[in-house]
Amino acid sequence: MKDKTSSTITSKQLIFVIIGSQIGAGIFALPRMVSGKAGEDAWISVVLGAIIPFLSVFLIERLGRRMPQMGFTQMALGLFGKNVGSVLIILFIAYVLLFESLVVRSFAEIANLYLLPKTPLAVVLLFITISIVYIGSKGVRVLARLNEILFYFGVLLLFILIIPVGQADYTNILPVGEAGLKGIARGALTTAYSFAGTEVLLVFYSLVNKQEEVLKAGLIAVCITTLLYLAMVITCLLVFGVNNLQRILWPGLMLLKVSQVPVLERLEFIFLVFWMGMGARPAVNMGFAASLSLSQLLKIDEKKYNTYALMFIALAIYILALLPHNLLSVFKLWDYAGYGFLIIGLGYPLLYHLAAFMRGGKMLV
Amino acid sequence: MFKKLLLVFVIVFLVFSISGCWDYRDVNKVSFPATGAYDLHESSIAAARQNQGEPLVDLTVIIPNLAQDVKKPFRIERTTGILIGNARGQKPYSSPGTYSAGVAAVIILGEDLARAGINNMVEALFRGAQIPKTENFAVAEGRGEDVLRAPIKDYSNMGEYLKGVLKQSEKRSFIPSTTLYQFGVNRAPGKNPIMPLLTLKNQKVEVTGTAIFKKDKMIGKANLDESRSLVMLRGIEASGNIPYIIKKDGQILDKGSVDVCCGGRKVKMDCNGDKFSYLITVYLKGSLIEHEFNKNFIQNPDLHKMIENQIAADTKSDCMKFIEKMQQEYKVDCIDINKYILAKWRKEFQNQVDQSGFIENLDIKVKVKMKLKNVGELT
Amino acid sequence: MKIRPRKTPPTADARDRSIKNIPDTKLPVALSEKMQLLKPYIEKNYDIITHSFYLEGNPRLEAVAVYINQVIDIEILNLHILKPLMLNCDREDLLTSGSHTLIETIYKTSITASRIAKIANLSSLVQTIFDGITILMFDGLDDVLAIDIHGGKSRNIDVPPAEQTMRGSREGFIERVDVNIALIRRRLRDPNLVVEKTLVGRRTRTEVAILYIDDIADPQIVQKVKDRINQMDIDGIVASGYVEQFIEDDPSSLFPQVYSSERPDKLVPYLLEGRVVIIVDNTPLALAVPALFVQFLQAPEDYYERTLFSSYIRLMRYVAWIVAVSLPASYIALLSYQPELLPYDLLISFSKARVAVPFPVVVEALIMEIIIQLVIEAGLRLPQQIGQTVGVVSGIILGQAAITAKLASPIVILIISVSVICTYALPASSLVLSTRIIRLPMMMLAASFGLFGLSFGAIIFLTHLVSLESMGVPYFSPLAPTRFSDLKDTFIRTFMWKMNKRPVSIPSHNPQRQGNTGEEND
Repeated sequence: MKDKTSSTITSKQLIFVIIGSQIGAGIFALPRMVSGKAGEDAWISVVLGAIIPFLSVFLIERLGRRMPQMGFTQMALGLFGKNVGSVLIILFIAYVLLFESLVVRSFAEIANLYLLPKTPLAVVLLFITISIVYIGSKGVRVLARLNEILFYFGVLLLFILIIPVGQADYTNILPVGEAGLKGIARGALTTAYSFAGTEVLLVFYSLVNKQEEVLKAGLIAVCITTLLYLAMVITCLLVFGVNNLQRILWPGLMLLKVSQVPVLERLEFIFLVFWMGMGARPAVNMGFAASLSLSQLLKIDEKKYNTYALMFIALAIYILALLPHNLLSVFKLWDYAGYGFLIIGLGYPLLYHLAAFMRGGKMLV
Repeated sequence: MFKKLLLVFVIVFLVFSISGCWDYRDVNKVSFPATGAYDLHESSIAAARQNQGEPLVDLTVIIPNLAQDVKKPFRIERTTGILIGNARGQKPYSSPGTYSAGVAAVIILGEDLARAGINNMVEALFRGAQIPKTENFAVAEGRGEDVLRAPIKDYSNMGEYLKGVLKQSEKRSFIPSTTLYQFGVNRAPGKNPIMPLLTLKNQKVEVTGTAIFKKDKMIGKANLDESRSLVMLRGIEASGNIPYIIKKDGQILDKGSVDVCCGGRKVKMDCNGDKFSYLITVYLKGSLIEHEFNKNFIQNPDLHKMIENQIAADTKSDCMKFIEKMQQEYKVDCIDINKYILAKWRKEFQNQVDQSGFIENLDIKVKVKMKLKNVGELT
Repeated sequence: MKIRPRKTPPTADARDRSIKNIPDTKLPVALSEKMQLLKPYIEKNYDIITHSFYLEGNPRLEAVAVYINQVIDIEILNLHILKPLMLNCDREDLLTSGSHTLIETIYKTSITASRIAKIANLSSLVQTIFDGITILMFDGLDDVLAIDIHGGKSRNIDVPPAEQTMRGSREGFIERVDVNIALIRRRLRDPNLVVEKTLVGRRTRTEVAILYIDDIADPQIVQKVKDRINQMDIDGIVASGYVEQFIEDDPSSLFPQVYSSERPDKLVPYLLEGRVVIIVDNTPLALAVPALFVQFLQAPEDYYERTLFSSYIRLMRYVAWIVAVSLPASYIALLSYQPELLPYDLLISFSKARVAVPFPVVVEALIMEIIIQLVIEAGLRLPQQIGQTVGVVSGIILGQAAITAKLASPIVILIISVSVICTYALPASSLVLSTRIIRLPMMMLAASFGLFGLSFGAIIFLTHLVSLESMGVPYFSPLAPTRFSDLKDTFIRTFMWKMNKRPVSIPSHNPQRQGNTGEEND
């Protein structure tokens, strides 16, 4: 029980961890990005885009089932040997660093834009980084519980989306199918990128206590995320229309500013206050996964030094997050993170399957 | 180690919190405008009318005075700049305290500015993350500044008065309120915004109709009667009082007025070759407010039907008149029907619908369905 | 989570040796020798009374009673021990048959006192005297009789002053552990209710009773509680708070992890839910573990009143807690960082109210907060009448004067007062204390970063709450980890007849609480 890192989470909590890793600040920009590619058919793209994370969950689960006792690092070292395996793990950590620095940076930009316009970004980022380290240092069980309670908060919060529906115009999502297959496919790919975070399952698989339920949990998680994305995209389309969406940086947040609610003059401020936990959540989950992998790779005592590994990861995220010149370059980097997701989320499990198939059950280490 | 780091952090932050951080501003040192008016600067009106030169704009705001021993309850400040944001940026030179944009509930646009196009002016409002998109817009005949400077006695300032008149005005009258968001959305292809029109009459500010926009440029005015038809045709759920007179053979049978609530519209579109035809069905329902005393609904069972028919007929002819005016004078789709074409053939017509000649060639028919819900407490 | 390192329990031997090195000599037969041995330990104490008397007969047998004044019931001693011994005892018999019949004889013929034991060596004799037990020594017998006739003056069972209810019982715990246990026994006549007793404190040797229901409570938790109490190595405890601080999981947390109450009717349902109750002698507050966060927002009336009303009140308490923690902080954040969040008219009236105050909002709020905290502290220790005066003076005169002196705006006084009222609407005094403290860091965070700081503070506190454990049980359950079946008794309190299962947040090995009568009937 006191054993921090090697303790387990339930498969129900795994759902929330996966959702928590997927949904970040990206959900606010998603309607713009998808509708830019798929126009009025953005919602079809969202549905289709969910195929890739589904596939990813499926592949990772099969991989885990093949070698149920092994964690992510053990698997890499066992299948590919020490050198190649280490490179794979370091690549994974590097991907987490890049990806989460973007997540954290986007969230800090939002906080900076709406709540603290004059405060330096470095300070806002510092506070987000501190919360990452603090949460991560409490161990995986606390992480899972926090994801759980934040999920319920988040769902309640997204109910706010109902408020602007009064302004909706249904002709904004008509006609159906105008974007064509190509447009929809491109939109679907964009959506798939925003499912990045699914690959957290690579590390968390071995931490789940009932591994036979992992597939179900993973699929439920992807379903819930898809539904939330779908709700966001459809609401934004209905309220703004494709043309206007292209001009709005964070349509999801602008949504809160279009209708007047008595007493709560500024819905978006209140929303952001409660979103704080949600904004840092992917970075917390993925950062924890990375620190766990790092301490396993370095063969240091996980219980004792995981917090230090996490501090190192968080520091790296902090520095990386400060590097992009502005938000626009962050958006450009998002695409690379998306490729990264495809490589880690689909490529890694495939590669592992292949290696496991070749080895025929024999391990190198 | 982690705890020690945390401790250092706490100390740093205690120092911060007392001294106040970057974004700190005391509420009583901030000026909160109650309302603002955007105008073309006097020197550039003439040039702007001929579409020449780069106009300067005036930003006039009403700011309530906070100190208790000051006699005037508010002050009016005016600054000038190349755009609204720039004019706002001139404030610190003439006004103490931080200026908080975006708390003003109502923005008044001068007519000249509205006719010159306001896309550039409202950009600052859309871009500002601190600004909600629910500010109400209205166009003033003449200068918006004059509306703000009009003497006001019964309210603490003009902002309060305008807010009361304009916020959700469609709930009480046939004047549509337009927020920044609605204005923005209605600039999309196939749509055009409208705004309430204010007039300064005998030192008193009144709503006198609707300003019709083509995208961001004001192109015409509709008076109060036309506004009513406009609102009904647009399908805005507005309500207000409509009078009726039932005549038969030149003789007045009954007259009175009905509180009508517009329950939306239904649009049916047909396409014959390349000619589009529309059938707009307007649904009204209402309750009788008053009518001539000598008629009794129980003894005159047809009366109910007659009132309904009369109002439907009146409304229909008003609407037809308005559509005619729209097609001939405004030449712009201000009743928001082209979106139905776009909903079917968006790619094909996206660029066509807003070109001149498109709305004029539409065949628009109107049907009005009126339902008298109740007749009040008397028979 | 940081867990306080716990030492291995000291052996019973080590504990007994701790007072003085009393030699373990066997007691001699002659009374005078016994007295000689005992003398150095008791002669300095004025309150230890040695009472010599003769047992009737020829020759008379000399005996001595040793006891502490006012700790024993002197009436029982005189009437039921001394008098029968002096008058009715058959001395010959005693001497011939030896000490083993002594107890029996006294027990059956002479004494109506309850607990009697024999003592044979010096160290336990001394210890027994100081434990407040009456000693009888006889000339010619090596064994010494120890008779437990605890008594003396103690407080009557009274209305618990800090936890009063409208509909519940009026009985509160008192300072005597045996009476307190009886108060619980009277309400819970289950043969499975186990009452275990240990002595804690090297010098004070305070009785600590551990109560649990054998077939409900989780044995792991019971064992954990026992272990932690046994591991306590302290020279003295005078209140249950000592025990609380030794057994809680995270001592540096702001949140109470052990529930304490002075109401037996509050603890009996906890026993029934599988919790362990700890009663410490000389303290009218009993402890219950494992404690959950939501438990501190629940009051016994919740179960005495009807469902709808108690659910409403319970919801209000959650609101009160959130308001108490965050209202002053929100005020600071709103007025100095995000004033646009307020409705325009309110904004102007707030600005107008503050226009004469020269301090920043945070300083203004801090001044008022500190004044109010001191007023509370001042009123707490004073006699009731003066305490009320302090309250009135501070409430009316200080507040008014602060406004007139432009030290604070009326709004900040309103805000701070509301938060204080909300704090005291909470039913558990330990949560009240933690709420009073949490307010401060929240205010500081709000003063530094506005709403962002507020939400940062909220997430840190949420993480902390979620990470806490009480006896290994997640402290923030049933919220996280979410246990849906327990939510019907969390924010609301559902119908009594619907609560068929014990809460799953507290591990127990008998989940069924009551029959399914309610569901069958509809």
